[in-house]
Amino acid sequence: MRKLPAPHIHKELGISMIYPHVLVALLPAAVSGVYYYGIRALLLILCGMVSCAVFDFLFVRYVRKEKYVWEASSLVSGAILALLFPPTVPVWILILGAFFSTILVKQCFGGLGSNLFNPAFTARAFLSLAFPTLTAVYSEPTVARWEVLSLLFGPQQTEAVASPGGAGAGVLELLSGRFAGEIGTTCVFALLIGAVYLFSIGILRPQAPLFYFGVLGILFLLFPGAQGLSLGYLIRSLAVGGVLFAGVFALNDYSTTPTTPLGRAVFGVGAGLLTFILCRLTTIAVSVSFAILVMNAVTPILDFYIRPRIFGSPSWFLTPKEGQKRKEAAK
Amino acid sequence: MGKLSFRKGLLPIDGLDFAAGRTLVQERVLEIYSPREVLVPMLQHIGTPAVPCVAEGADVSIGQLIGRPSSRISLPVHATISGTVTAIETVTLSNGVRTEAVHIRSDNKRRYHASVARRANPERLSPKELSLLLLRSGIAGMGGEGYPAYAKCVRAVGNGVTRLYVNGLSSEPHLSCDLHLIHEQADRVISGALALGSCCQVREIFFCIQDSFQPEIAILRSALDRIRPMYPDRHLEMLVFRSRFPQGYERLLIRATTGVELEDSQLPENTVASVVYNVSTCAAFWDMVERNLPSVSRIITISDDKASVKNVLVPFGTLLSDLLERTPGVQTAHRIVVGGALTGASVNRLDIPITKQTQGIALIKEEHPVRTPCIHCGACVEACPVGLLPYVCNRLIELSDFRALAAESIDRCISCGACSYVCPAGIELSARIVRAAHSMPRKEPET
Amino acid sequence: MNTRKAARLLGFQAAILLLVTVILLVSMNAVTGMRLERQKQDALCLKFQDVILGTRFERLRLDDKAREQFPEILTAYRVYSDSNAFIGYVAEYRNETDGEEFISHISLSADATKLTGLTASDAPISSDDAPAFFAQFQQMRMPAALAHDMPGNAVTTTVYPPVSGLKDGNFRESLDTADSSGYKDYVAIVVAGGRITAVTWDAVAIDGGKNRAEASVSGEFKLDGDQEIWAAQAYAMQNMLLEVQDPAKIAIKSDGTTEVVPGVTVNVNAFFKLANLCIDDSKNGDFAEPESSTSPTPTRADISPTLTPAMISVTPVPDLGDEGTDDSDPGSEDGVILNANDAVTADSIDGFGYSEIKTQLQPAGDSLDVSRSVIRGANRMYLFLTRYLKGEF
Repeated sequence: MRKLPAPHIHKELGISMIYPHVLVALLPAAVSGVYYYGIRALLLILCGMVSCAVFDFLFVRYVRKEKYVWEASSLVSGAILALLFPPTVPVWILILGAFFSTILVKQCFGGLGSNLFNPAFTARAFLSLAFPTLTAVYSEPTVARWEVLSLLFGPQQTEAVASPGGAGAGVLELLSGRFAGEIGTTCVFALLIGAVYLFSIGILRPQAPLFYFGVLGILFLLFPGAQGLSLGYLIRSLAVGGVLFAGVFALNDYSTTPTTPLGRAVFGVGAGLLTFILCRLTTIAVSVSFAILVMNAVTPILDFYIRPRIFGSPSWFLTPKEGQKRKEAAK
Repeated sequence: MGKLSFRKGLLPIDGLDFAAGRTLVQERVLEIYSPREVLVPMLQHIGTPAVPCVAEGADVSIGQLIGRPSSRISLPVHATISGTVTAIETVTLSNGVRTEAVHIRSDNKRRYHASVARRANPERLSPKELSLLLLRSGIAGMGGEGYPAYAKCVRAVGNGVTRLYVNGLSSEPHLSCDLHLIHEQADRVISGALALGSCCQVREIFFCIQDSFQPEIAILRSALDRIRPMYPDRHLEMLVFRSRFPQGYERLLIRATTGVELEDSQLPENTVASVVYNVSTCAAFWDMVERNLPSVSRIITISDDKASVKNVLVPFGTLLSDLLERTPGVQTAHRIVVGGALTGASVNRLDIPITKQTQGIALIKEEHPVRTPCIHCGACVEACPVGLLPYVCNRLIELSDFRALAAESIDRCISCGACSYVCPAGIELSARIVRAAHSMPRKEPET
Repeated sequence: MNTRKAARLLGFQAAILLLVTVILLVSMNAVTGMRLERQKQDALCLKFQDVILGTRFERLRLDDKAREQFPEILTAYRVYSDSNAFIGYVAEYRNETDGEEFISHISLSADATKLTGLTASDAPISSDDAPAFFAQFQQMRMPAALAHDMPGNAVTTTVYPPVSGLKDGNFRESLDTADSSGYKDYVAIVVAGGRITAVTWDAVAIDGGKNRAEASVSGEFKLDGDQEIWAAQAYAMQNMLLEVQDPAKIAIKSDGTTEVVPGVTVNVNAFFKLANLCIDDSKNGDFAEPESSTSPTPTRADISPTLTPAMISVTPVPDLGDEGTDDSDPGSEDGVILNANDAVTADSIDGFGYSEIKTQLQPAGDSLDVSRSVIRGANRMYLFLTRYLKGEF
């Protein structure tokens, strides 16, 4: 028996459980990817997870020279990274992405919890800038389930289609993700299953995703562009380009989103606005990644200014004046 | 009437089962414990310790005065069992306070002192007589705060308080002793509350109870309906609260009922004209009013990691080793906690007496979770009932940046432990913040 | 928390999520798959409505060999009617002429012998000529060729002139001596209307066994190496004689073989000798006994497992469809000895011997090349189907 500080009981949802739960929540998306794109998708996902974990381990063990405490967060970012790519992407690009996300984006900023940017989405944005053609070749689903050559040699001519996004697909196709797109971002209902799962066990915090989808939905409704309004159009704008995927998995990344509910709501609104503006200028896949990166960069500011009201204090948020006072006090 | 609550804190969704033990009717039944010996501390309250007034070898009986109050903020101490005083020694309490204590060996007879006798007409006592009884009863706030009930009463009268809140909310999810009182002895609680109301010259009395305990709500409601006609000049009302930790805190209770958030310098008495008493305090006071029995024992809850196991009526001064002798789970417990599992103090020895402030004992089996880096999840921010940023405070403590800590209002921490409870990284935020708050200069340095 | 318990719970949740996802995925894909299939069928229905009216199209799976040999066949389908009866084949065919590509739709009957429709909407044919041209492709027996390309360059005289002075009737001549393998060759011809209308070349076994053609089909009579079986070669010779009417027009090399008739590698001296004798008989009115002409000679159907149009007509055929015909060298030492005014320089069209061409067509206006290309497509499709039906692909 020892004297130990209170409290003496703890919530059971620790870090050792959170990331496995997120992995489970990614499972439906991964299953849909494997269902549509076959063995390639499976190998890509496994490769992403393994390479992220290996880079993580190597950096901690041999660069920082610390004992490696295993947790599943590297597996999560590896899986997310793989799910963000089209199935035709060669495996070396994925490994490059794993290196970029794990070493440069995460570990160089101080490892788990200290990263400023979402590792997987940063790596996706980086690779789509560095290899614009290799990372933008989409494949028709359920066509070449046993084709693995693209893993080594990149996209094959025979199966490539020009652009993602099931232009002629019906509502049901869009919901079940049966159109050309990334491995894990197209299947709406699989992502919803993952989201509901995360929400039910208390990992998903709804503010950022809800505001993100809300703002995007309203903007798409107000400015439908050339296509005109339809249910399919709305679903397409959420499904194509990984909007839903990002909403569930990137806007809920603990390290890179604000800690307060109001801050997360602002994050969601900002990400929605940026996504909409960027997707009018470039492709939706790129705009989602960049909107999230920009909001990641804004997160520390949101965290500083949007904070809970101290019990008994009159103002709801930190006014600039009070912030100045605190800054002075901190000096 | 809607359910009352405050912001944040922990909800049952966070893995705290407020109704745990609700179905275990057998285990809620009171067990009366008769110790072989007691070690009655002279300081069981906030204030100055009492002075022992019995000598070694003296024969004492239950309710006999063994310690006189030493000042205005002090309380008398009474013998809790009948027997022989064997020693007057120094003891260290669970909160680290060292004080004198009277050691009494039991004669196993449960003799009551001659002064303990049923009063003929307890309802007719004047407020003055009642407050004298309150002083003589030696009751300290039994919700865990330990503030002398009499002093509170004086403060209330001085501030012209108009409302009395009877706090029946479990201060912690697994502490069911207060609920047990409501369940078994609602009439006693209400009578005590009425008497306290007379003391404090208050007409409006509100009984606070939480929504996870429907049977207790029904019992209390019917008891109130029965008693209300007898006191037409009093306003008796029941307030239902949403189950939430740490709802037992006085300031949060006031926030939930009145919407007023008290600052550190403010008290419920002088700000919202309210006074808060615990149900155990009310029941104990009724013992004094009805039978002239001072505060000699109380109900405490023995709980484990997940739920309350049983409620035991224990005389003050009973040693933990004595009480836990036959309780299963002591040997396997990873830590033994005096108080609730969330806010209690863990002890490293068992020769500690139960005091008036002790609400329960928790036998914790589980190890502390593995410490991992902070992932900035914000769970602590959403849990903190006073609106601190515990993860920021933790970082600043790591950096030893005390000025920034002062700017973060670290001194407002009520050490409820909610942040540590929810932290997925297993960081002991609450303990670190409390320690830092104590080590900080009380006033911000002038520049 | 108990780690093992937590892990078990996690695994359980993962399994449930997996199950739910797979069930939803498969069921939604079944629904969408059905709808996509229906859409596809409707699209196909619409696409091929000019050539065949089907409601269900079942794609023919082409293996690599088929793709390699028929790269111009883009897609091919079995077509079923409303009542789910099999009504024929349809294919999308990439034509190429003068470096210009166009797509034609070709449909064939269920037994793959008749062309039931052909359109090439984007073919470079003037709209005045197109209706008449494509109308020819209704219920047309395959293979086909432009009448222009056929020997004689005329619809009426697609045949070589017969040897003059033939009398109608059956004529038969056989060798007096058996060869080393114990067969006595004979040739029988039928002359009707002054033309040879049937030729039989076979040999009787002196031990009373099967005739040589029959024996070669059944494998009892074998030729060395990878030569065609004897029956097939005999059949080719018969057809050649039917075509040119005069054995003298078929050049024989000094060693008794010929290169004119593709696939024929055996010594054909006996055939020529006997054929000439039969023609002499016909001129002289020396009729054969009726019963001898009824000897069981294998028909084409019997030998078809090995004998295919492609084999009969094999190579050194210049590609008529693509190359054109007019400027080719008219005849060689071993070629068919032609009349000077014949424009045809090869002995087959699109891999089919002239004798196999069942239908002759008129070109669309003056666009000979384009017409040829269209017809070639039909022929290639026919060739593909015959081989496909034999299970070669």
